Amino acid sequence: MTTRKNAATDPRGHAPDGADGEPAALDGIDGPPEPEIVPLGPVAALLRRTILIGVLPVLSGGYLWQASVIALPERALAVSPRSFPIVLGVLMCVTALGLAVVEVRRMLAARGAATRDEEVAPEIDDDQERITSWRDAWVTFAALVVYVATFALLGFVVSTVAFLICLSTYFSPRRLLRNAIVSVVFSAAVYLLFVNVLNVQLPAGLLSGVM
Amino acid sequence: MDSISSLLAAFGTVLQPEYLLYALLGALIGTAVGVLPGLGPSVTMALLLPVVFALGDPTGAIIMFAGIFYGAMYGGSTTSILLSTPGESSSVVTVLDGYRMTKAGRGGAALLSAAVGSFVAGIFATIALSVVAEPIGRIALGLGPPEYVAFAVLALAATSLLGGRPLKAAFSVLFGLAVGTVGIHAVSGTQRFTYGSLALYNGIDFELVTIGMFAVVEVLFVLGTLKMAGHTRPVAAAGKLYMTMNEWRRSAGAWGRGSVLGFFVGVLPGAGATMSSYLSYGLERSISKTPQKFGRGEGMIEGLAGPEAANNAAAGGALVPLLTLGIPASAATAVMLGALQGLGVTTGPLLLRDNPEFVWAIIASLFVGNVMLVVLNVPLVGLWVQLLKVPTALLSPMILVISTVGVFSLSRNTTDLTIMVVFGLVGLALRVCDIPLAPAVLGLVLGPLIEEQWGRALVASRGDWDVFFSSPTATVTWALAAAIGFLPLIQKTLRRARERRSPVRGTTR
Repeated sequence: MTTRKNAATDPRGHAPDGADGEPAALDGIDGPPEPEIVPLGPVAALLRRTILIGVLPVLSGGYLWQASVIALPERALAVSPRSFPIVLGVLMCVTALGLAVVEVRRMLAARGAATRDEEVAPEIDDDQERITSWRDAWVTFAALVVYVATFALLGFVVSTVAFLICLSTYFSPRRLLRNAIVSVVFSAAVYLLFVNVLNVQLPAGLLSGVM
Repeated sequence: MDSISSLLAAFGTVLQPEYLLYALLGALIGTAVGVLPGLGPSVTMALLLPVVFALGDPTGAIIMFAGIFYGAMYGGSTTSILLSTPGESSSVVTVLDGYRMTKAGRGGAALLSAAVGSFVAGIFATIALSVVAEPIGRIALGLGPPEYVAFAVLALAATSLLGGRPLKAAFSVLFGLAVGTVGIHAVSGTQRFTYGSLALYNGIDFELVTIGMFAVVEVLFVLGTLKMAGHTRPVAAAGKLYMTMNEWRRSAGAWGRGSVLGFFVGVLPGAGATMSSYLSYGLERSISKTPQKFGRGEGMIEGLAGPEAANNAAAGGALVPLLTLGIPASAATAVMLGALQGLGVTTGPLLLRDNPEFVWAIIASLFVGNVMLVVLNVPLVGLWVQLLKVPTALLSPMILVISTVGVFSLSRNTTDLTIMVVFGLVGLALRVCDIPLAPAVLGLVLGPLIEEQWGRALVASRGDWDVFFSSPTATVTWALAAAIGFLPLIQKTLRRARERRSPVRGTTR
């Protein structure tokens, strides 16, 4: 297990000493970023399986299909607009299927080990950051969607102030006043910077008569 | 010697108060971003594009970008040393010995060694860049479309296959290339994948993709872990900013080795600052008389001085292919390339011939940026650390606002906002699968260039595919790309063979 642990300290997955075949544990890096493997969590694991086995192959296949039906102009062409996308599409399909096969085999191995009551070594990711609260992540994403949707309609200032107050108060509910003040000041500052200094017209929306 | 007079003339330009102000601004913003975990130099540059386009001055833009580029590295090392929280992946190794030194009360020495080392390396890389730029540029002028395609493919192959996850990184590159095919085909003028949407006619801008996949996704990750992570970070005392004679001596050697190593690794596509810092750490440990002390006890100053020098030198090295060939070797230089194109600069081999004063201004601004950062950062360390006290609950939503306004101001159209959100979701999906995102940005920027040059080569040869192997340069480059392609396979076979010999280790895989 020691080899694994050391590999986990390296976010890009290649421990400097793993390559020369020496057991990394002897002189391996271990330091303050505690080299523990962070479990993926049920939501992320489910998402990962769905994406790798289902979404990416379908997406790649769809791209290849769409590439092969690109409308061709009536004249003779030295280079078809289809050829480059088709090459990419084929390579994408191959890679996506490869990833799917690896994932399916990993799933089967895990299932087989579970029936034999063994423990399988967890996968080591390059990226060890994990979302611990998917609810918070989805709330953030939903807030962004609403913000973007109302950006032009309500205008920059109104939508931004609302977005900032709501999202920051969701994450620190007891600091409503502080959140409100910072949100208003920040929105005004960004508006002035873009409109007056950078000459970028931001949508005025509801406040179009006032500003 | 032509180079030296050109460089001196460029200093005349760069030392104007206006440009010094841009350099200062870039250095400040870059350091701030480097200190805050999450956003890297590439996103910061993408977010600042509206500001840069509003300036409308390519020289000013690149001077600011140089400041951001180096500033992010300085900022990242500061938090690695004091808090054990690396802001950038290139400062992860700095934690190993840097944080131990801080715990042992030598944080000041670690900070000083990192800062001076970055400065030395930055200056070295800039000198090396100015020495090699002209000769490489002259060779580059002799290259045609077939060689260009080969070089770009080599850059992409190296990016995807030299990292830890070849298959995943390869998918990321291909995804970026595929996104790059949306819009009007440069050679035939046909529309592709636009589905009648006017906003897609000119293709999907890399800024939208970069901001969506990095800034939005990073905020989702930060806020998605906020409740577990807690709101405060313990800040260790830095101690006094001085090094003993012994520490100076030990650092100096490491700086020198790190600078040379970092520069050459940085020139290579796909390697970059992160890999150079790991290689430098490995080098320092393997030549040390006491390798067992690295990352243990009070830490070894070499293990921090070397990588810090190496990652800064690599940032300089990465500019070599960008300025001479117009081929970016990393996400950060890809954003720079996109910005230059957005400002109407013709990038590629002709840049140095047609716009030499511009290239020399960049090089001169790197010197200025380095001096500015060392002056700015060593005394202001305490101030930068205070930045971490800004509550995440407010800071992260603000980053989303800046992302949205940045995207909106680039095109003044709300479809682009939707595209940004969609790429936020795509980036999240890829990141959950542990698929690296940076190769996609590189693919997106290089894709249209590759396709255009490929088209030109085939038009010139009247459709004869032999044109891609018509010159020795092209053939050798293709061979290299193919060799890199087979590398993971070879490594796997070797590993299997080794495991068969030592069955005990086989169980850990």
